Amino acid sequence: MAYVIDQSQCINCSWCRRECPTSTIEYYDREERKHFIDAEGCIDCDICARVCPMSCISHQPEVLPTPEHLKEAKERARTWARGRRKITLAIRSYADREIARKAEA
Amino acid sequence: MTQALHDRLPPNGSVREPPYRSIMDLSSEERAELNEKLGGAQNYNPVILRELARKDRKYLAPLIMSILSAEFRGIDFFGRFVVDMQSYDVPWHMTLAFARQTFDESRHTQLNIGLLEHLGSEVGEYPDIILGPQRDEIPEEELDPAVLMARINVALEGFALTSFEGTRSLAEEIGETLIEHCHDYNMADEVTHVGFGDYWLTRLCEEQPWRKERAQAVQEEFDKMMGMVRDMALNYVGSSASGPTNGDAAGGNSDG
Repeated sequence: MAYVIDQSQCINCSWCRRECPTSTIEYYDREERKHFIDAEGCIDCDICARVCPMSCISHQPEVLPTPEHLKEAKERARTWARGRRKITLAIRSYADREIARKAEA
Repeated sequence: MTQALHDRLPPNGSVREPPYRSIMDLSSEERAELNEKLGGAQNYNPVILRELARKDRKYLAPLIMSILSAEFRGIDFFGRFVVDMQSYDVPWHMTLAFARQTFDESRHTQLNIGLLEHLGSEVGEYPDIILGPQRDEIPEEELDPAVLMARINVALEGFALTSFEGTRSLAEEIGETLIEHCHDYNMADEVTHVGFGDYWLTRLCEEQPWRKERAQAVQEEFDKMMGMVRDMALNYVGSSASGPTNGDAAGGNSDG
């Protein structure tokens, strides 16, 4: 199963692309100047559909990635999640230190 | 034929009051004052300010000012776009769309000035923070309407959606209902701006296909720039984390 962008509704804001944990959303389709989800990298996480301000991303059960591609995509998503969490924690930890430093001063 | 607007209007002598003051041009005294308030000029970064504000409300004012700087820039940019685009023989309805966008940016400015006052601050307390060149520094070849729309309306305004949502969700989390309401409102406008920017970009690309390739290149350049903003923030926080490659952390939606 994978998600599909209705290109007639997409406004190219790139929000889905920025949030995609497997980087499987491209800005340009081959023909259209529109965002496009490569089903081979889609892990069905639903994040893109939830952030889309046009609600133009939908679940298409008939679009299936191959098992090999799905496995690779899930590994990419794990790496992405680890990296993102590391960044979030680093920034939060920095903010805590800065506030403590200001309080001491 | 009607004379173009920019030939009919007197030279623009209006200035912002208090004047524009870039963070790059601060005196040593001003820099010391900023350090005193924020714990260092490096903290005057929306990604860091959002986290600081999560823990201490006083960091909300510089966060709002960092957004307001971009709104002021939007008025200047889109207002001039309305006038300048007449030289490029674009559809009149496209010009009208940018007139509407200029009005929206003015309203965002009013809302954010109100928020600054609500937070006990005012325009001028914090310097202006923006990335990229001023309107006058943009090379002539980059002033093609399709290139400008790809860079500003689609790429930048599209990115602003994430940024506004980051600020809105932070405000919701810490109970700042006024900020939450205003930024929800601003975000709705941004969706409209991206939508009509994309619509007119498509129309212009249909007429001249080279614009399609150029628009894609502009989007890629923008992504790289946003990646640099994220890297700058990460350098400041001392993280060696190898983050996502799609520039998301710069948008502030790093909560996962």
